[in-house]
Amino acid sequence: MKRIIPFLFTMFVALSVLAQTDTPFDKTAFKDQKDELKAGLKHLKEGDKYFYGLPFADYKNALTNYEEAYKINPNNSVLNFKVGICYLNTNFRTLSLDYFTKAYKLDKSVSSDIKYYLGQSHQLNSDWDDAIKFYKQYLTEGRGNKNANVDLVNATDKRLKECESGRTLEKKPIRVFIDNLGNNINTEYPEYSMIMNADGSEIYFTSRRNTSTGGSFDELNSGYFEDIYFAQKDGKTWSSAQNVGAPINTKGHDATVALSPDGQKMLVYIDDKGDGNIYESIRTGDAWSKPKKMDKIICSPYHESSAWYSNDGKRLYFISNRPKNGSNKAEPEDRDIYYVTWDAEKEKWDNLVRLPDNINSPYDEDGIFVHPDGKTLYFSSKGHNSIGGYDIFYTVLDEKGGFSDPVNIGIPVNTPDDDIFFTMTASGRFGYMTSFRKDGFGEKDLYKITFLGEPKQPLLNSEEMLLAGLDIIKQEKTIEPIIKNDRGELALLKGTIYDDKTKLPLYAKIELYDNETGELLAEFESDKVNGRYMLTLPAGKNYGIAVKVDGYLFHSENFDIPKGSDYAEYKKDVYMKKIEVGESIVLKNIFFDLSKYSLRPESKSELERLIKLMNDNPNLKIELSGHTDSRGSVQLNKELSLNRAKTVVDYLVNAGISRDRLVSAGYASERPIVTDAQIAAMKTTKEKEAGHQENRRTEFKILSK
Amino acid sequence: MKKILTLVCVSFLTFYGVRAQNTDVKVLSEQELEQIKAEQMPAEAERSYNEGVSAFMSKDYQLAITKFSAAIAVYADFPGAYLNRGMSYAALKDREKAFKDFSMVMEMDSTNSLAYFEKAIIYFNDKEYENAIAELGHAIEMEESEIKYYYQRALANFLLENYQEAIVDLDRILKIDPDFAYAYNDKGSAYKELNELDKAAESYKMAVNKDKKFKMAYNNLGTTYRKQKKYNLAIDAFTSAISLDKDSYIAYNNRGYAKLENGDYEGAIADFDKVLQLKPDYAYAFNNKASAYIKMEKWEEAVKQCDYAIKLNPEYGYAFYNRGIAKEMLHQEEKACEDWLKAVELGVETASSYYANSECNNF
Repeated sequence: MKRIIPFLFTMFVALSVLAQTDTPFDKTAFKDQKDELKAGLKHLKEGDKYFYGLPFADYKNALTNYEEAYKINPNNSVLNFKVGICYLNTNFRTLSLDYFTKAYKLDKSVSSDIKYYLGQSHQLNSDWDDAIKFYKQYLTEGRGNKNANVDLVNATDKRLKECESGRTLEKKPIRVFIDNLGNNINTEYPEYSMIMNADGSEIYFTSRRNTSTGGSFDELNSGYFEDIYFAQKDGKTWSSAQNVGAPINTKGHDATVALSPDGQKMLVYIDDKGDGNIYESIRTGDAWSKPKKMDKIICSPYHESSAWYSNDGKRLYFISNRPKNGSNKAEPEDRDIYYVTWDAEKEKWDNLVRLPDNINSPYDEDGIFVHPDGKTLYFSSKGHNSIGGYDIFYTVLDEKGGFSDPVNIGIPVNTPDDDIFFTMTASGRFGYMTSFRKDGFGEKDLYKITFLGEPKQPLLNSEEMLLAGLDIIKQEKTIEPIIKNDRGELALLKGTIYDDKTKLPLYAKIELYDNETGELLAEFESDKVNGRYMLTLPAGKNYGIAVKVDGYLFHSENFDIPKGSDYAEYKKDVYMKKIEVGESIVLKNIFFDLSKYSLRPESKSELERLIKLMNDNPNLKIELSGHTDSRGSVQLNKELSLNRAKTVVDYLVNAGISRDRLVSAGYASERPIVTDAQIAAMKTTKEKEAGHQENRRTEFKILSK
Repeated sequence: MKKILTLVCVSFLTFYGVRAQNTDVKVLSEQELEQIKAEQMPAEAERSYNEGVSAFMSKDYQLAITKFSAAIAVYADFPGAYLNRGMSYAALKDREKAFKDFSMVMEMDSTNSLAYFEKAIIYFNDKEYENAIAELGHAIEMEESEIKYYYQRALANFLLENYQEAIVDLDRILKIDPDFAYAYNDKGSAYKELNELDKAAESYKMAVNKDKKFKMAYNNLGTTYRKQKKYNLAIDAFTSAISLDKDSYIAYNNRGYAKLENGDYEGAIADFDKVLQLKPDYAYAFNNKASAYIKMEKWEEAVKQCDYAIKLNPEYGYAFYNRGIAKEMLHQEEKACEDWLKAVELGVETASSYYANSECNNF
């Protein structure tokens, strides 16, 4: 019912426009309706009390009273204007248009700023041409009008640019589905600021519902105190949202800020008596630690409202309204994006950098989100080519560290109102945002955006007879379009680390290498309780992954993710083997030239790990074996596999490992991991090739220790 | 002897019918005839030979073999009888015996190019195009101006995707006979396969200039224009093909395709409907009609047409792929994913990108 009232009210306004003369609340107009007049004046007075309230106007309560007065006299220009202003300051902002329009019709001089508000309400309704018309008139008249609101006059040029942007972007809307997340997540209370892990299987968000911790009502913000809620993907739907509870949620405001891509660290916003700071909580199993205030370099005396980790965890982007000159005493300025870098030696965040002016506009930026591809930053801004309020933009970090000019993500995701708190799954297929929409549950809700990308082109068939001398009807060759994956060019690797024998989960360190340069890109850890891990592998690198647990053989994985790759998700449970006789592991990051036995330079990191293992375990004697797939000559494969094994042995000997600790063997395709029958049963060429790839390998086996 | 000469003349006239070469009566050269005259062939051999030719023409190859064998029995030094018996064996798919007879011809008459040609034809029909090309090379060495040898070699090279070699032979033919429309058409096709579309269009245009009723060349010209995105010219060319053959479902289908790419979706659908009137089981037309509906954003209709296509051909990858597109837009993403996965299994590579990037694994 709450949602129906404004709609009916609007209908009433629309009908009453038919008989329009400005009707005062006085005896001349209500000669025979003294009681109604009295009631109307009472509501008017009561409404004004809230409308002009100090220190802040209370438009919600003002509107309730004005609506009662409106029932008695809908043709009063000032009342219509005030109702318009009230709506402009609620979630139902688009409804202001009818009231401003009517106020203007009843009295063209109802306010010196009426044309600004007409422009604004048309803008909120995406009526760009009318908005521009009124803004331009306001600008022309307002500049010479002493009674005009100077702030509004000064803001009008910006509003005009927004409308021009809206008109441009509207011509090429992006193709999306926007769906409410449903009643397992959203309620009649506000839900906003959703965050999630990289695969989108877990979400956290802020809500001001009546079940919040302590159940107290914040009079200042006209709502219950903020708490953080949690839900998991339950097949196709979301589980019912649960309060995260203590120690994250308190009786005060606790709001979501960010979640690391692996879901192991959460940033929360704590009001800190108006200062506004970012805190960090660490996850162990299903429990979250008590949030700890971030370093001072991040938490200044000014307001920090939003933050996000880079995908390698080495950088933290955040929003602050601190003075740009670094002063701790000057007045706060507009909100900008900054980042700090993790200093591993000092174990603290360091090197504060404000993003360049092509990103930080003269207006507010907020709601930063770093996509798991490691290079795309999404943020909201009131500047650039926003179409009104905060719009969602993205910028791409290039290899030299520069940020591309921001791009407005487009209509209909962006609206003339505030669009903020945007997040996206690793694939780039799904985004989530906070929005107030007519189909919602009554307040701000969480919405899922399905990005459909450019229109998918159908594939047709035709036939032709190419040769006059032959009766052959041939299907015309169709060149299939190359699909550009511009949002999710990465792979997601997730799974659980176990002890191979006991099958119990293990806490492990996971190192991520660039095989080409040998650089250690990032270090991660599996969950201390359940052994789960999640890594994002942005396209453009050949990744070597080493999983390490004390007392166990290292486990290696290789993922070559070339640029332009489609999004891929791999589930890889890792079974760690203890350093015991008979155990063997596959060295997945040892590479040879095609059909040769010369080692490729990308093998270096893996070989170094092997050398370290041999040095750390001086009694270890191992067999290094080469294996091929089943294609090609058996004899040649046998020779190739043996020669490859010998090459690795020679490398280790050159690195100082005694030759009598090393045995080489070539097994060709005698010991496949995936059998030919299994490969034959695979459906696609890609799967079959992956099967053969798995069989081509170098292994080592412990002979004695 | 007169009868033999008559048959030779008839045979020569049928030479352009390469497409029906297996049943052609073969030519005896002037030299062969002169030789036969000089050697005073017995009348019985002549009679048997002519009966063999008649049987061959009646497609009674077994009888033809009997008759040619009878001719050879009476007159052993008769290369024409060996040649025709070899052809009769070839018609009965007895390749070994055919080759044996052709070898006899080559032994008896080292200038007889036809034996090589016929051997090449056997290889060609068995899809052994390299061997066919080798035999045709021998034939051409002996008879440099024989168009059919070049043409047959051009066909073999084309089928081996040796398009440049095919073009060389077709150009040789056009030097000998500049009005040979088939050569222009096939040269156009070779250029088309090489993606040299301007040259392809020029060759096809020459083909239709030489033979105004050459519907195949109009059709090929249309396809070339469509690939060049010259949609109006393509539509005109297909319309010419249709005017020459009102039942050409291929031309209607191709015209519909061109209309679709030209943005005339209603026109495209009308053409695909015409195809389905002519050939109701033509799955391509249903799929193409679905494509037009996709362009028109009539998703339900697109799904329906894909359903028809898939019913006709359950292994039709494009139809699954297109149905996936339509289902996605109907907000049935899970079903779209199922269709794209099936399309991937059927070899549509693009579908694998859609499947991966749409997080289909997460349903």
